[in-house]
Amino acid sequence: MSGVSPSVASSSLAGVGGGRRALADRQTVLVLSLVSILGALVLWQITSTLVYRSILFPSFIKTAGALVATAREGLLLRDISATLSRVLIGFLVGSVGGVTLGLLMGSVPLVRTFFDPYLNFFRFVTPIAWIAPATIWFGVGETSRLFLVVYATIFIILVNTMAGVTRIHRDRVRMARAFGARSWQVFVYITLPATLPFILTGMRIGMGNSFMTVIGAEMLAGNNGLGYLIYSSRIYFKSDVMFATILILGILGFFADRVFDVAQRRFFWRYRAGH
Amino acid sequence: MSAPYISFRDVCFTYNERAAEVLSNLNLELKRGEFFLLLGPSGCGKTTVLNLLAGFEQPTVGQIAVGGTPVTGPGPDRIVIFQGDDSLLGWLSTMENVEFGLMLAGMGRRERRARADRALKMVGLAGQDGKHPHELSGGMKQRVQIARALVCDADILLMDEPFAAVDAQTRAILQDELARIWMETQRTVLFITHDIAEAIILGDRIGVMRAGPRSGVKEIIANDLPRPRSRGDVAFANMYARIERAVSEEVQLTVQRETR
Repeated sequence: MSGVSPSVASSSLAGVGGGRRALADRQTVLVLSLVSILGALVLWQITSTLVYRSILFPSFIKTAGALVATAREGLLLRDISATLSRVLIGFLVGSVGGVTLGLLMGSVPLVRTFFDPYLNFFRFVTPIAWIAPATIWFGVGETSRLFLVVYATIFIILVNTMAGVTRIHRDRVRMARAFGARSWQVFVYITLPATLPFILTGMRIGMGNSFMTVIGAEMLAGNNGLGYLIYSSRIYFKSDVMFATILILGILGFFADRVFDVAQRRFFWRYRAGH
Repeated sequence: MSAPYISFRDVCFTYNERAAEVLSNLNLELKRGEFFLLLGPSGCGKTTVLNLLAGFEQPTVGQIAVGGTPVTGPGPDRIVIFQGDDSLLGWLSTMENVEFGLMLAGMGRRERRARADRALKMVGLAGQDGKHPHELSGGMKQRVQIARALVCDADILLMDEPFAAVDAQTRAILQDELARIWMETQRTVLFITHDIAEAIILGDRIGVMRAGPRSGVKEIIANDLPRPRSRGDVAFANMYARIERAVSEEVQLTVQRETR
C-alpha cells in the first residue's frame, strides 16, 4: 500500500511560489482545467448523440435533465445527505480509531508486534467482502453501512499514523529527553506534531476509501443514499438517473477532498512545511 | 588542579554481547569550565563517548559521573548539540525552537522570550526569530541549536561534530563565534570532531582516540595557544603537525582494518 508519504497528491502545490509568475501559473492551471472539463462534456455529448446512440448511454444533456428532475422531486437531496452523513460519521469514527491505534502501535513495539499480523491480514480484505457478514450480524440497517465505512477508513489511517510514529528521527526524542522531557511530554511535544502530516495524509486517503465503500454498502444493504439511487435506477432502467448520480458522486468527492486540503493548509501548515 | 568535574572510570561499552567492544577501559576527566576536544578517526567511538555522557546509552562496565553524581540517563544539566538538523522541530519557529527547553521546564512565556531573544542575538540570529527551520541555511540551523543550548542554565554542552555538514567558510566563522561565546559564558564543553584545525581553534585540551574497536583515549594534548586563535600562525602549524602525527597512526590503523 502506498501513501505513507505525507506529500502525496499535492499536485496543486504548483502555484505556491510568489509573484507574477505564480499568478500566471495559476491562470494557466485554471484555463487548462476548464478546457479539460468542457472538452470531456462536449465529447460525451457528441459520442452519445452521433456515434453511439442508445438508451444505455444517455447524453450529457439528458443526464443533466435527469439531475434537475430528480432534484425537483426532492429525493436527490435526501440521498446526498444520507450518503454524506454516512461518509462523515464513518470517516470520523475510523479516523479516531485509526489514529489512536496507530499511535499506540507506533509507540509500543510489543503492541505493534502483537497486532501486526491482523493489520496485514485485514487491510487486504476489501470492505465489499464484509457486506454479506455485516448484514448477517447487524441487519440491513445503518449499523451495517457504518461498519463498512469505518472498516474502509481505519486501516490506511492506522498504517500511516504508525509509519509516522516509527519514522520520528531519534535525535528529536533524544533532544527532548536531554532537556528533561518526561514520556508524556515527548508524546505531546514531539510524537504528535511529528506524526500529524502522516495522519492527515492517511485521513485524506481514508476519506476517498469511505466514498468508495459507502456506495457498495448502500447498493446491497439499504433503502436510501446515492448507492441505492444508482442501483434502483437500474431496476427501472433509468440510465440517465444512474449517470446523473455518478456525476454527483464524483463532484461530491472532488469537493470533499478540496475542503480537506484547504483546511489542512490553513490549520496545519506549520506541521507540513518541511516537517 | 581541581577535582575532576566529569569523570569516565574504566568505561567499556558494547551494543550487544556478540559484538566487539566499542570502548574498552576508557578513562577521561574533564575540568569544570574547560573546552575539551575529542578527536579521532571515523568509527572510533567518539560519538559513543558523547552519548554515554548525555545518558542516551549506558556503559556496559564502569562509571560516568558529573560533579560526583553517577550519570543514569539524560538530564537538563547536559545539553546536546547534534550533528544534523533533525533535532530542530519543523513546526516551531526559530524562537519557539530556542524556547523549547525552557517551555519543558515550565518557565513563563515572557521570561522565556526574553532569554531566547538574548541567545538569538548572541549567535547572530537577531531578526530571524519568526522563520521556520526549513527556511534557514545549514549554518543558521546549527546556530539555532547553539542558541537553544545557551538559553538553558545547563553547565555542560555536548557537541557532536556540529559543523561537519556546513561549508568550509561558514564552518570557520561558526568556530570563531563558538570560541567567543564560550569565553563569554564559560560552560564545560565536550566537542567531538575529526577536524584537527577545528580542534586547535576550539580546544583547551585535545584528546586523541585510538582506532576502534576497543577504543579509548590514546593521548591528551594541552593546547595553550592564546585566544582568539588564528589559523595562520607558526604556533598553530606546530600544534597541527603534532596532533596530526598522533591522529594519522590511528587513521592508518583504521584504513588497514577496513581494507583487510
